[in-house]
Formats: sequence, C-alpha cells, structure tokens
Amino acid sequence: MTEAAPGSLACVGVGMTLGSHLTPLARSHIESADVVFVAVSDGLVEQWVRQMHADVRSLQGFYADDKPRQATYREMVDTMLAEVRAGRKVCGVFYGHPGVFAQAPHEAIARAREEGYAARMEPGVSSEDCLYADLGIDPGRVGCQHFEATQFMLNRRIVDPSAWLILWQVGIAGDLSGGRFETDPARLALLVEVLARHYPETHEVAVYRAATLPFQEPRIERLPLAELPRIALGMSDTLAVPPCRALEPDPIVRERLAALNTQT
Amino acid sequence: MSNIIDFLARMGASATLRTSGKADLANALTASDVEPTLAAAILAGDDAALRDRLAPGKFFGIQLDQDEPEEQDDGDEESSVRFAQRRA
Repeated sequence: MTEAAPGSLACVGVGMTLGSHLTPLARSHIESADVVFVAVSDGLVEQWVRQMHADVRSLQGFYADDKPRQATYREMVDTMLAEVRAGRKVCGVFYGHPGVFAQAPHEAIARAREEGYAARMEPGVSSEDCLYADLGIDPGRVGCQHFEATQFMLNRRIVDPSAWLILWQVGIAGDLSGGRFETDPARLALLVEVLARHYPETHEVAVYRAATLPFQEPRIERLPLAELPRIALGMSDTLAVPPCRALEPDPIVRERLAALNTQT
Repeated sequence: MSNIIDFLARMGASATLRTSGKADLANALTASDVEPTLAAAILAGDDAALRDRLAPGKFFGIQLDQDEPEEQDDGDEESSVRFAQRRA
C-alpha cells in the first residue's frame, strides 16, 4: 500500500484584466493542480479560469448579503484546507494579487503551513499596479501612503499631505457590521470630514477602478473631495487623493548631508 | 460560450486588439465567429450586457476586514507586529 501524496496549497492571482495579467507561473499552478478553487469578482473571469482546468470550484457561494464576511473567509479557508488534508494539490485563484486586501489566501497559507503542508503564494498584478499606470502616478516621486478606508476612519493615522493618499475599499467605507458590500452618503460624508482634517474640501480627488475586461476602460472620475458622498461607489472602487502641499525640506539634514559630501 | 471567453482572453493578451479601432475589432470578432449580440456588446463597451448573458448574478470581491487588535499583555511591539501580519 502506497502512502497518499502530501497535500499542498498554492494561492495565485490572475491580475485585474482578463487575459492580460496572468503570469506563466500562476497558469502552471492552475493547470497542474488536482483541484482549483476560484474567488474572482467577475463571472466572465471565473468562466475563463474554468477553461484552464477540469475541476474548478467557485468560492462565490460562500458570500451573501448581510452575512459576516469573516464567516465567508473562514468557510473559504476550511474548504480549501479540507482538500489539502485529503492529500490533494490545491490551487486557490484570486483576482488581482492574492495577498493584497484579501484575507482568505493569507489565512489559508498560514494554517496549511502550521499543519505541516507545503503552501505558497505567487504574486499577481494588483489594482495598485494598474492604478499607477492608469493615473500616471509614480509612488517614488513624492511618496504614496495606502490605507484601508474604514481603518482610516476608525483610527487617527499620521497623514502626510505632501504625498499621495490611496484609500482602498472605499466602496464599503464605514461598514462596522462586516456584512455590507456597499457604503452610503452618510458614511462617505464622515469620510470626507476625516479627510478634511488634512485636505481642503475643494481638493480634487479621483475615484479609480481598474478594467476587468479587455474592452473596458478604467473608471477615473475626478471630483472635489466634498462631492464624494454624491457619487455611486462600488466594491472595486478606490479613492486616490493627490498631495495638497509641497514637500517640506529639512534644512538641518540637508546641511549635514552637504557637509558629508564635502568630506568624502 | 467558450469562443467568447477565448476571444476575451486573446484580446486581453494582444496589444493589437486592445488598441485597435472599432472596425478592426469588429473584423476580429467576425473572424472569431462571436455571436452578433455579444460582439455588439463588446463593440459598445457594454460589459453589463455581456455579464447578463454569460455570467448572470452578483459576484462579490474578496475583501480584507478590520479586526480590532487584541490587548497585548506584555506590550511587546514586535509581537504586536507579528500578530497584525498573521491576521492580515
């Protein structure tokens, strides 16, 4: 009697745009798995993944309106790990980058490793990557800070208004229930209030959403900060806030560096 | 079904198709034998029509939720960071 092959888990991303971003390595993980689980935000992308393997199982059924998302993530993780424990080679397929703003892949990999199984994550093209390209932002130019929108509202963060500020998951901003998949004008008005501590309400911001299908254009909607509660936001939208002040030079450090320069 | 998904995958991977004008895109859709109503949706940029036909229903995006950090007895900053990473 031969021993069952040990199970393993690979979590991969398919990138943001169907057909454009899948890496050869991610495709190889999908094609060589015994079973593939898929959690992508677009039914057409799910169909595309289904063409890559004979046994693709959607994780969408675990989501439901008003169901705590934490319960959904737990069920996703348990479902993938059950197959790993059964000795199968499992691939979890997620949209974008599997480790960026995605709880279940991190949790699944951590638990699989704790239980002694081989588990790895392969990066994918994330919404952040697309945002830099589509909005023409180089994060190295003046810096770029990233926060999850609700976390940003709930905590006093140190904001540098001389750098870009990117707020992720703004489409569910202010949700304390963990079960909503939308936000509303009242919560967005509160977000504007928090941002107005650092930015004028007339400051132009951009709502961004990467293209999911190759014939789509990304959503890039520029508006004054104060107008934010008056527009419709979806689960995939992101808020990009440009800097509102110039970088502030540090004369002491500049002098010290200049002195070091003359010595060497 | 499969030829429209194949076409989208091919379009996504083709610099020519992604940047082509409507006439060239229409020719490519015809050459790929994509059903006329689906081709019309692509040419019109109507992703909702395409999803309604081929993948109806609500699709959710996986999200990250906020856990309030638990109190750390020893106040050890490093262990707090490890905790946050584990929960992320």
